[in-house]
Amino acid sequence: MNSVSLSRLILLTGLAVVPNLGAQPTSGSTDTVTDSTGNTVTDTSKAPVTREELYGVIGQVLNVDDFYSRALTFTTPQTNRPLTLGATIQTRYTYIQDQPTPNTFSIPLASLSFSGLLYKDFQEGRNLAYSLGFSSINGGTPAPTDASIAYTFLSTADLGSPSLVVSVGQQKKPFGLEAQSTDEQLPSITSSLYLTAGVPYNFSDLFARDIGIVVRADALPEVDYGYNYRSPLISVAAGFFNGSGANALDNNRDKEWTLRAVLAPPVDYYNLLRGLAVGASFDKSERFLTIPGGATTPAKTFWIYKTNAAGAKTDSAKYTVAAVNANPDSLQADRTRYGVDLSYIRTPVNFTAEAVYATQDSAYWDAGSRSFKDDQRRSWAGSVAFFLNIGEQYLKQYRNQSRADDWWPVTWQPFFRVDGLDPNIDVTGDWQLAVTPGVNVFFARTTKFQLDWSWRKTENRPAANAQYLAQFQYGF
Amino acid sequence: MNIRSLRTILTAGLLLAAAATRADAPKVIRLGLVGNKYNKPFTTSVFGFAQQRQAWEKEFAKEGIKIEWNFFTATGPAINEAVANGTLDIASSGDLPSIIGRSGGLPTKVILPTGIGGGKNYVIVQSNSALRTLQDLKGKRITFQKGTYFHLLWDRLAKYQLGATEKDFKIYSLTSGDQDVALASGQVDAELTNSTDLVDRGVGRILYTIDFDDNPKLSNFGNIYATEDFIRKYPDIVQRFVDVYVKIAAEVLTPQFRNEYNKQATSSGVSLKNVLATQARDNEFSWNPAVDAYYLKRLRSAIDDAKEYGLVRRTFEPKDWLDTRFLDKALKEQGLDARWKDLRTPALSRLE
Repeated sequence: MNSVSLSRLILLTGLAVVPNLGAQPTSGSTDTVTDSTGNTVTDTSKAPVTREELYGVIGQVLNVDDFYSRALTFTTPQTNRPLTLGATIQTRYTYIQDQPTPNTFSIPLASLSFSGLLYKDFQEGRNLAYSLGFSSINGGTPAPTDASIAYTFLSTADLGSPSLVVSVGQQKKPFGLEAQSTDEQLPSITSSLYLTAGVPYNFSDLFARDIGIVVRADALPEVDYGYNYRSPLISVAAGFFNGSGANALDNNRDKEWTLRAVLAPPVDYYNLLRGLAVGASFDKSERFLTIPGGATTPAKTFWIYKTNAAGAKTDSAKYTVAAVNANPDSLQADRTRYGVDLSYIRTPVNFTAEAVYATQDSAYWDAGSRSFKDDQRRSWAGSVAFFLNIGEQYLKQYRNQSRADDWWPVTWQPFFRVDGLDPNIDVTGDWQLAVTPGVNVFFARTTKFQLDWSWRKTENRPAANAQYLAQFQYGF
Repeated sequence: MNIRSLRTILTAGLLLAAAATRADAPKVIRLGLVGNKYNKPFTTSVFGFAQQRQAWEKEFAKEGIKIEWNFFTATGPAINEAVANGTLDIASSGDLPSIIGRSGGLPTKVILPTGIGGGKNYVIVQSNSALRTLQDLKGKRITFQKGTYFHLLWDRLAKYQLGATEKDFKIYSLTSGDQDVALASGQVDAELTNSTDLVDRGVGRILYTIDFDDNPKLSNFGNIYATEDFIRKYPDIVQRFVDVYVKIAAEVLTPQFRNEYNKQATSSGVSLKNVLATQARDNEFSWNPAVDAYYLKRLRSAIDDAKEYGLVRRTFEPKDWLDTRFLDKALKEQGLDARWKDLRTPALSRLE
């Protein structure tokens, strides 16, 4: 017997045993009540239901039952666990001055995300969650982005409790502000120079993901139940990664450490200091790197160990090069990054500022002495952004409304950002500067239109370069 | 310059200043109301009738002023968030969230009180629960949404009926739909609610009925308030808003209207059975908008109790929050100032 037949049987059986079913309404079947003022009031709600009316209700229930049974059997995808399926697509037009292809349409991002709970703890909120995402960048082969599992160790039943979440898998490093910002703090299409500039600059990996473990905790939360608001006084995150990047096997002996701490003032929701936060980040890694050879030689791989020739760790022999070829490129080893940031995210006025400094050890082949020499590159970068939220896009509770139509609050987000990068402090003439004004318009629940104009200048190049970008970002 | 000239100049200056700070009319009046677990964009009582009849839409149609209805799923706390961010002009919420907002500095003024001293709420347990009395709930898992009027109600219930505090229970703050799921699945032991849905389905059992008519010291109320900025800019609009409300209240808060009143209450998704189970004994007693001694006493009590239970940091004087100009004028012009003036006075002694 299928579910439909079963439900029909239950309904009809129930119908047969209901006493007095089908009795005709009798005179005086409506009740009267007397309220506190002494007036008699007729309460028609207690009039009996007729058999015809009940059959009508049963018919409607069976129709609904049929509809959902068929839908569940034939047209509804099913999973073993709860699943939230999401997608983000960007469709962009770009015009860049002084480029071989100055204007172009592109799909810079097409991503799918799957997330949900592997175990739901209704009582304490100690949930086990998963996250899986795939992205195609500029039409490339889709590759995993997030691929992680996270467990909430402390109860989240009360907003006033501290939190502790541990996630394992491929994920972002908890370093800096912009690198891990959501749309709320990252209004522009293009990221700051230091996150987008490619190798060998010392920051570009911060925007990528790596494989490892991240522990996130916060304590001393300020809770304002009148707004359902929670802001911890201190939040910390510690990451422990391979250091070899996303979707890559480990290529070094040591691990990459990332630490971040954020302080926020303990204030109520309706306080001018709400949304203010000060953060500091630290990252240290040592990596085996594959370095392409120079123009005259094929690509080579060089292995650098923080050990001596016998394989034992020692400080006296900082680098041991397992393979040496003539005329190699410089080799990279220890890398240390420091970051400080300040943010004030308080709709409608928002401000972010960030500075990062990095040192990266390397060794290079000195043709004169025919030996390796140590070197250290030092870089720094900074970014300041100011933006407005004119509309309710980022009022999380405002968006959850009972509405009959497909409503969404239209929001305008004008912004202005200035950012700079000095990829090598010891080299003059390589400073880069970008000035980026723009505007975003959120006009549907998952859709925004973005306009950026970015003026870019490198110190030792006479002409500035301008980029014009228009983009729809949409999804489900 | 003689006195008359000086007075003329000052008057002209004041008029100019007033004109500069007031605009004639807004393009839209943004209303914020408590949503419901059925996710339906409708409200109940006098406000509900005004919505159903499009009373304000009609009142302001000739100036082209639109009425924007916002029903917040997260109820009072979400309304506070919206007011704090300048996205609402007039809102209605329970006593505690509106008091928390004012205590924290939200620039609002109460223009109309609502739902004073009547109706029922319930402590519901699973139908097969071994819990039998309120005393049995000590140390148990209780759910309601913190920051709403239920929060104040629970703390009062704990104090007056059990001599306990919030810390004597394990409180899980959930919205109303999630509360039902949590209780039905046994994740909590009891639910404080104004819905009898679980009882009607045979899943829940009423452990304790909180009848505000019988026990007014536990009773909550609501407030309709406008932002100070909106009142300053558009006092005439606020007056007409209140006029419409009072006019509808005078019509629907009568025994003869009770059936229609109850039927209208089902528009938000609540079953008629539930409406009957939770309604006040006398709608006119509970929902008339008079700012009388009874309401003022409940307001004072709510502010003080919220402070005592640690739900607000600062108290404030009720008179600094109330702006009764509009209500007073509406009652007088509609000849209603005597109708509700002393209606709740006999019940004052029951608050002692």
